[in-house]
Amino acid sequence: MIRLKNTVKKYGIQRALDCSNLHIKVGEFVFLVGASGAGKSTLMRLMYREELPTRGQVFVGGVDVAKMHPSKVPHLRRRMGIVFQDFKLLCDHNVFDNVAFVIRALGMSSREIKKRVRGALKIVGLPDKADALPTQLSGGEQQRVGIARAIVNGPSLLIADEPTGNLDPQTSMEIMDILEQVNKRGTTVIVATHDQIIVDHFKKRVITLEQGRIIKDINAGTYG
Amino acid sequence: MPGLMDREFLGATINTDIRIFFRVIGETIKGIKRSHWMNLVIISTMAAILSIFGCLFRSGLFVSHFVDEVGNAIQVSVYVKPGHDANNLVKKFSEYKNIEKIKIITREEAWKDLKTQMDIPEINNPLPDTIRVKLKDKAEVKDFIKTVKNLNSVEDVQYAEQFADKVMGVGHFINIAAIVIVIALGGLTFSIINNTIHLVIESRKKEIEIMRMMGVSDWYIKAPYIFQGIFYGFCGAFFAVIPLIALNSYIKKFAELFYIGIDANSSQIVVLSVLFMGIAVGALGSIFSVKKYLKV
Ligand SMILES: Nc1ncnc2c1ncn2[C@@H]1O[C@H](COP(=O)(O)OP(=O)(O)O)[C@@H](O)[C@H]1O
Ligand SMILES: [Mg+2]
Repeated sequence: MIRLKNTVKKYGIQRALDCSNLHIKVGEFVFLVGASGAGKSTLMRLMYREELPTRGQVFVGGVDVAKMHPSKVPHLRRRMGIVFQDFKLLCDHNVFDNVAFVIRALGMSSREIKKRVRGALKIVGLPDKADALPTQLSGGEQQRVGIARAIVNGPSLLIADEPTGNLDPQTSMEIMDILEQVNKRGTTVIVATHDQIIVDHFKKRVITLEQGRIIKDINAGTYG
Repeated sequence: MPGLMDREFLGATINTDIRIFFRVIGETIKGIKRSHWMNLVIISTMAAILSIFGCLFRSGLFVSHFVDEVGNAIQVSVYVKPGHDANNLVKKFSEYKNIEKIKIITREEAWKDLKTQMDIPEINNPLPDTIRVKLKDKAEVKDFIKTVKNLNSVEDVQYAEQFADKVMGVGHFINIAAIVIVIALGGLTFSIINNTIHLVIESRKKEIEIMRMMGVSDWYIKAPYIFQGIFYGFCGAFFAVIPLIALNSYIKKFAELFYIGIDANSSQIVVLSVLFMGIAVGALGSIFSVKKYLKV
């Protein structure tokens, strides 16, 4: 699903990421861990082509996104779902619209949209909140909406950058359970986090970054 | 069977495109609704400027029409020396390319005319035969007079020279002023739309960013802002037409006062120009704004 080769990302003279080789297979669940500033977000932004590598290649689904024409970027992002630490919901739109706008913009029929949004909200455990505004929801519920939006178009890849960074431990665990469910349905999931309890609990592949380099990459691993 | 498959596939994409188009329109309407009070300000400003443009344009067209009519009414009067035949002169004038109309008024006709207008005692007719000449191009008048004056069968030539010069000068000035004003007002309306759409984009930065991240296409994000600009231009132009209708009836009255016909097509030309200018400036202003401030 994802392959990086001799990929370097520099901001000015600062080397934010230096990855000689990384391979994430279809259907995997991967934790990306490391201290703040280690390069986790940079690596993810390269994957959804929010950043271009200074050097090297970034293959997503067999395509080098570094060479992708800018007009093709929306097509790339439609096939993945992105979940953010700060949720990034449209605060003056209700839950339904927040989830629906992505597939609405694709010209899907209203019936299909309704079906898919309901399905996504059910998966994240918010089947009754379609009419609520984000401001009327708790942090955990807002992140569930964020996940519903990310999966509504049935992506093959889901990227979550510190999805539980703003949530308490109990809620964090619930969110991670949902992401594991999404993974079990066949979506490749990559989660950046520095929450040790979560990483230790799920026993998935753990890739540890330090100052932009991968210093550890173990299956069924734990934090640190 | 592949042919059938293709057709079904094509049908599906066309349906999708139509839906996307209508949803973009829907997004535009939502965006306009969310701009509440700003809509009023922009549309009334646009209407004010466009109506100034329209009224000036309409007046300019009328004045140049007026100038034309009056200028056309100015004729060269050629007085024939007694004992010469007016018809010979007319034949000679006919070689002159620029003549639009030519008419002989015999001394008898002129005398009769004069007598019906004034109380004149019974004396010998002192008037000469007169040839009234109307030229196609007013600029040729001076040349014509010079040539004609030198003919020995011509007694005298009369022409309201100063008046004609003034009328032509006014017409010329109006043409230049119209161009300057159109450019100035065009620039003004353009920058109003441009800045408005910039403000709207600025206030939705976060939302635009989210849509980009979710893979919403370029055109779906941008088009509503362009349509919003076009909407403002169109509405402004629409309301600018109302004062134009009032102005047109004034012009009609004024024209009747001078016994000249109204310039028939001008009213439609001006309305169409105002509409065109509103829509074009609305589109251009928002396209520039989107190009500059909404980099996707
Ligand atoms: N847009 C940017 N401009 C300059 N430096 C940046 C930018 N984004 C990240 N960095 C730097 O790159 C390094 C890696 O950052 P980041 O990928 O955000 O780390 P993490 O997500 O693991 O906390 C940090 O040192 C950070 O300061
Ligand atoms: Mg980060």
